[in-house]
Amino acid sequence: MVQPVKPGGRAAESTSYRAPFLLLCALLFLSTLWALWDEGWGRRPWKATQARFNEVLAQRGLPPVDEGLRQVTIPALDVADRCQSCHLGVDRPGLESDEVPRVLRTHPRRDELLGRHPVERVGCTPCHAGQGLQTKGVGGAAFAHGRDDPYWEQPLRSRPFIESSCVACHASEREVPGAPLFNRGRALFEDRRCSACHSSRYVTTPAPAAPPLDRLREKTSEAFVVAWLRDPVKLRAGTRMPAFWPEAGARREQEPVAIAAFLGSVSEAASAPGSAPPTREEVEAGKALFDAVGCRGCHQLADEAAGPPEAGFGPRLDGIGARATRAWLQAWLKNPRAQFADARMPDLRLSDDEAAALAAFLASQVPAGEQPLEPRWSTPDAALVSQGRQAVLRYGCQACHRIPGLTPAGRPGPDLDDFGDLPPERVEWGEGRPACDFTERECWTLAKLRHPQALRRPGLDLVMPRFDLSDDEALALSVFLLSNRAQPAVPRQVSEASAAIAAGEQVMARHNCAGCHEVAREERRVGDEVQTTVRGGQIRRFYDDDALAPPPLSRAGQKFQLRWLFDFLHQPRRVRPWLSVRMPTFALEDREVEALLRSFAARSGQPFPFEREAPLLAGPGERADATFLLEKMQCARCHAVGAGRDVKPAERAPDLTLAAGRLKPGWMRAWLLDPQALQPGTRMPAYFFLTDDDDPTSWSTPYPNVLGGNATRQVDALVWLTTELGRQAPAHPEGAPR
Amino acid sequence: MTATRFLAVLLLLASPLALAEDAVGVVRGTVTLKGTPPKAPEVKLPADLAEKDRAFCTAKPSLVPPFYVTDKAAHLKDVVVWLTGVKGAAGPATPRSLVNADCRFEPHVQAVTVGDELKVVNRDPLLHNTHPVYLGDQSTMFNIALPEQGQEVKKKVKKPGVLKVQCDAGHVWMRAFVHVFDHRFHAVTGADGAFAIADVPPGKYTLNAWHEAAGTQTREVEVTATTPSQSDFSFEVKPVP
Repeated sequence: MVQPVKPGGRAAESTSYRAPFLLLCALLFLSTLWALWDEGWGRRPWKATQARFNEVLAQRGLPPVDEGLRQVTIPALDVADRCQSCHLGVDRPGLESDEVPRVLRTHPRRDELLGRHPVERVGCTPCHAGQGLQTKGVGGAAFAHGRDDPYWEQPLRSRPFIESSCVACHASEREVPGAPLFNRGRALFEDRRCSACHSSRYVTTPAPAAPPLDRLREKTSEAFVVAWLRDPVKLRAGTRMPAFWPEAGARREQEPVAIAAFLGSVSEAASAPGSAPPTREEVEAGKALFDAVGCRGCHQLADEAAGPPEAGFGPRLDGIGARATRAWLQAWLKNPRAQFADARMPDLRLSDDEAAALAAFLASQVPAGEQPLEPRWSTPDAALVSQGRQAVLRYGCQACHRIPGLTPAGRPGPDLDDFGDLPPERVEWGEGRPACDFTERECWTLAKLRHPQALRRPGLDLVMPRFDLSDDEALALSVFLLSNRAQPAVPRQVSEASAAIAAGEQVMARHNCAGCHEVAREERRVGDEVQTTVRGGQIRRFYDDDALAPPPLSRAGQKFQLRWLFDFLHQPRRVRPWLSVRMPTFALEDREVEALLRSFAARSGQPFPFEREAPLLAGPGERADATFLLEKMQCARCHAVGAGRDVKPAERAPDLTLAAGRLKPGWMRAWLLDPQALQPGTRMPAYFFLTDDDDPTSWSTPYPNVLGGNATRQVDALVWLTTELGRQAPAHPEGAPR
Repeated sequence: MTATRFLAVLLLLASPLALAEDAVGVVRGTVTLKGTPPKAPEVKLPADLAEKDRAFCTAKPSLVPPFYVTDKAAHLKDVVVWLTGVKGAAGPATPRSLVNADCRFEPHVQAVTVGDELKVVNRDPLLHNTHPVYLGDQSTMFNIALPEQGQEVKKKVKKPGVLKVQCDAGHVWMRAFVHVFDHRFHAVTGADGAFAIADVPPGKYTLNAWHEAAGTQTREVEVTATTPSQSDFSFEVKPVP
């Protein structure tokens, strides 16, 4: 039965909706088709690139690649990269030439990097950042890696900043291989005491303390403090102290004056009144000491414009006489840690006379036309002092310096653990954006380091000072800062040996061992030639003869008995009486000494802490032969033997009786056979010779009638006898530190 | 027929060059000294010298080598002369020696070629120690002890440079110089101040002359196969280092 249909009823309603409904259906259908075309068959920029790639391959007679989207998925790194849909040549050698379009070329550091970081396991975005899934440009434009798209949270890194990525997986390594900018940046972050104000996820050691400010009235003058605060770099090139008032203004005029008044009010009064001007004899004696005892390992004078980097470890001392008083210098040299517990300056165990002479010499180092400093201070004015205290608190001086009456309160600056994830909307340019070719975030970081105050917005009070950074340093530091990201990573496992070496390096860097000692020597054979790379020990340029310079440490693991070295590092003793340079006392912590010993052992491939020594081929039965050899070879001409003997010859070589407790028998063997091989330049001559330069076992001896003319047995007999002499020797006067 | 004539002239010009391919020339000359050389330094034996050595060495004449050795005509001995820029084979290795005799090194100055064998000898009845150090990088070539009289050790010379030889066995006055070249175009002046570098391929070179105290001089020379190239040097006395 058909129901009668009322006019205006359901049927009429259906009719009136049908047309728009059908239209909508058609639109939906068409847009689905368009979307399918767009996503499936149609507009795909990478298709054209793949076609170009196949042309490049065809020109070289190579088979084409299959067309299709290429995606690498690595869940552990949170990576889904489609980059190789276009960058098809990245892992293919032979496409380096400029004729190949840039997008298709072989990775420029393929051999160095991709072997250890295969693209199928690492992808591209963990290093280069960017949006791995994105393959299209904005609004149909050509793909620009997000440079035109403010919604990319991580735009592709600019070239120098790619190094910011490495540390995510290489965090446990002291030096990230192949990332010199990053390494330099991290070293700068530590060295410039950035961590006193800011945290970083990759620098966890506390910032080295800056000099305490509790004895300023003795150390310097009020006028100097004011001038120093206004422009530290002008008064001492290379200082770590940043400029808090880099631009002219009322604050720059007033605040340094107030701070100096405040610091004067909390400083102890000078204990020693102004000292008499130094005599010429004192100055000359001090100069001789300065050149000889080892100061030049860490400090430079006006006579040296540029030295090795280690020589810049301590402050430059040209003009020191215009910055510090003689009385203060003398007290400081005599015992640095009495004033400053965390001082990097070690104790050189100077006598009172030596400290006085050195202080006299340093006090005489004033710029031309200036007078040695007089510690003049005005009577503090209460209002000014209070104003100064406020300024000190405002700038957070106590984050680096110990100031009487102020407690060091946390880090005054913002945490930078996630600085590399800084959201794009927080990048604010303040007074303007300088020209810069990098990404927004990279440019902003550089600009902030170069001119912190320029990024000030109206109403925002910035206290970040300006550090004296070269362009390269600012770039390196920016690379380091932007590496601080919350980022999934697969930490690289480092071997126990390289971890030990790295930990030792850190201790050596902290105390600048390389300023005086050769700390590493690598020999590489290139064709016929042996290329030697040496690190540290440049202080030898001040000594006529290598034998007068501090001994090398590059083979310390093979050389020293660890127990002896442990004691020596804690309390250095005089081993080489003929040296004028002296091993200072560093007040090392036990864990530092252990790290050093472990690293020496690891570097020499020695087990730690004990090792089994190969038995000697000689013993008491060979005593007569060994004594004959010791006599004939005239060892005692240069070596003292025990305390009882006239020690004059010891001007040339260490006491033989020290060897028993100090040297490893294996080292003594190798040393007797070929001293130059172990310590180039040593004055210890060779007594045994290879009959065939190419056969390292063909040792011959000048004494063919002793022990069957066997050089190895003769050496072992000498090692045995030397050890015996050491055991019998009475307590040695060298036991007392000098 | 200008073209033919031109060709003929060219051939004529070129023929002596073609013939001279194997021909070699000689560079020779004499070195003289201007000024009065300082007196030979006084012998001061170090206080810590072993008694045996003191007794033996003190009796020897002219223990300390003088800085300037000249004859009556002021000809200067022990000047090393060499050419730079010559291309030529090093030639066969020559045996050389450095002798410790009468508490001195003999010869005082010599020039050797890389690949030569240097025989180090001790003729004295006491411990000598021979330690050549490269001037410049201060690196040690070798450092050997010769405790026995008559002892000999042979060392192959491998790296070019100027070596100052010292004895660390307390004989601080002993010194000698060994110039090591990577070619054989070098000579040392004898007592008559004369030198000659033979078998030099024709060409333009720099001629260098070095004296331990008077310094170094250089000049440009042209060597032909026909006439010897004569180059005389005149050094002035300088204060002894």
